[in-house]
Amino acid sequence: MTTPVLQVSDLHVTYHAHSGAVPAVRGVDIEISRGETLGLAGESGCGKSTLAMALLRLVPPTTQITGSILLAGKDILTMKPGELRAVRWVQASVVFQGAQHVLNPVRSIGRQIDEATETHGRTRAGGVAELLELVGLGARRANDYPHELSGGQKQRALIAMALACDPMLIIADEPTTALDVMIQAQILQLLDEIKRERGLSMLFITHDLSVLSQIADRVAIMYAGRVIEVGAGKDLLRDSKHPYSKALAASFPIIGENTSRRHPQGLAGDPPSPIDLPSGCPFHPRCAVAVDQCRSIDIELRSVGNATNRRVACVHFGVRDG
Amino acid sequence: MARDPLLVCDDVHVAYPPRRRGGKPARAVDGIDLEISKGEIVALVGESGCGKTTFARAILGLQEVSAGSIVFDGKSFPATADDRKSFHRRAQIVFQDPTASLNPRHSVYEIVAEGLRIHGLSDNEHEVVTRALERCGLHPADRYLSKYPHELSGGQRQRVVIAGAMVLEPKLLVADEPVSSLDASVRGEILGLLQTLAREQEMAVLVVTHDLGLAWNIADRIAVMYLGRIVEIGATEELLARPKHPYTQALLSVVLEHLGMVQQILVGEMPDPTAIPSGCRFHQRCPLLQSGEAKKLGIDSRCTAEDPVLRSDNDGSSVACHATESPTRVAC
Repeated sequence: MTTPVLQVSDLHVTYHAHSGAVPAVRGVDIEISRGETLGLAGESGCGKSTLAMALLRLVPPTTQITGSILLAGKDILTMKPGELRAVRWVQASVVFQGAQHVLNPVRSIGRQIDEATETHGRTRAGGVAELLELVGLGARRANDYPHELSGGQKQRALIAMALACDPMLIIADEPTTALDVMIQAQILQLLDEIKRERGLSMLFITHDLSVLSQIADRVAIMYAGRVIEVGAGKDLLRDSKHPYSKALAASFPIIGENTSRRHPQGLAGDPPSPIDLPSGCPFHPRCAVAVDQCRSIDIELRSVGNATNRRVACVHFGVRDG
Repeated sequence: MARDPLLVCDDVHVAYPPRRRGGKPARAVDGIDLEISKGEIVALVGESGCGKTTFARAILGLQEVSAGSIVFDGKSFPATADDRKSFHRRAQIVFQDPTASLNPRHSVYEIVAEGLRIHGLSDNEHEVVTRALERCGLHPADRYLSKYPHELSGGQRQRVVIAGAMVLEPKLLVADEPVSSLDASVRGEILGLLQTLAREQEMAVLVVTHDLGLAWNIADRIAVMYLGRIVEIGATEELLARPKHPYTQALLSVVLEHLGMVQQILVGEMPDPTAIPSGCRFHQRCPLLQSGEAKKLGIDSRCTAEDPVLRSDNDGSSVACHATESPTRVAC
């Protein structure tokens, strides 16, 4: 078996705030192979963006990260600053959320893309023009400033920037969240094409499960800092096992399906705060099928009966691995 | 057509003045006809910049109308301050971001009671406030009365906003993207609440949204807006099962891709409302023109020259598209 592009084991990310330690990510294992897109979904505060930022150590310096993050076999967590700089953007880059806040308003798009390549000591044969063409913006846009672009165009510029150093992994943090459905579809199509042409791997983070059914090969659902279910994209979304994934999937109505017509579905209660996690399974206070055991034991991810590659962290499913 | 209409909008236009001298006005709302009856939930669906929020604001008198008429409960928008006050009691709004809608230094009780005080309805205020909160799913209300917005979750905040509107027993509630800033799991609960309130209070609800899934969840009718105009309107089930306008078809294909519908991703973006294209405002992006189907139907010259009107079909829906007038076209 070839080495995965990204292999994260037992990752813990803890912020240190005035009020004390905030365990935002609590023991996550994920793996992405070459050319694969892993979708990471969950609600606000579940730790998905923290996880994404921790992958390239883009978190505040006081943040404690433990575990291991192997990018093409090398551990990001033990790298010296110089090594880290050589990896960032060159091997893995980020498409950040909120394109309007990420771009520098007083610098042209072309200049900003150049900056990315220069900082990381790479020059591109085709230059900025080729990148802008690739993302469907057109080379002449290089001299435009961010305010001259629409939201969708800014997002395209950010994608061009992420591709500037030919990385093998793209971390896309809610890249389509602020966009309209039609523009969102355009961006997803673009990412999918680029990914196929270049054999890129992608970690696609979103709160919107309906997006993942279009783009992800595999999906991991996070709750309270942990992955609680992982499996093949479409299977997982169609047939979730974990009660939380089920509820989350049900809150994205399928148009034309009678069960959701005039019957919007949700989940009572709110996600727990990372500084005040419930005992046992963190989902048990909101879970409709919780049993006594759930209050005391936090189940690890384990394989589910006959489903291939499906792993669920719930007392009602599966048997312990090994 | 709507029976017993509570709100009748007739050829409503809203134009924002040009930013620069010599510029053109932005025709944000460019001729909308819409009726809403008592107890009905209508979803106004469209992409950002299509004018849906401007139209919603115009209905509430928060935005001046440049032409056309809006009749609410049998009367035009009132001219005197006193009448306007009574109008605003009967037509309430819920905004997208509950955090921005709530005064951070007011307690939940003060927030919900504020409307009552403004309108001089302070008889047994405590009881009315408590009842409104509980009806909006915050029970027992005592636990929330003295809390401040920062102590509540996003979903609870939106419930407080809705309770603040409901104490005034409005006949019309305009909800502008009421759940788009909320987490998915909370979304369903808030939509369920709006649906229950509409049913129990016979309150009309206009939900402004970009989300067709939301419309499927709760709306009786859907109006699809494109560049200042309603291009298709009809009963939810019918419109989503058999969309007639090519724009509606494309929008739906994008969200239904996983159900095996072929995606029709439109090229480009919606034009600027200062430069609405001639003829059909959608013609530059219309898949019918691009695929040559419009030419086969012999309507391509009309598409670029003649602005289609919203025409009622015999099934109660209305579409503004030259192709739907042609009997040979098969809707997909």
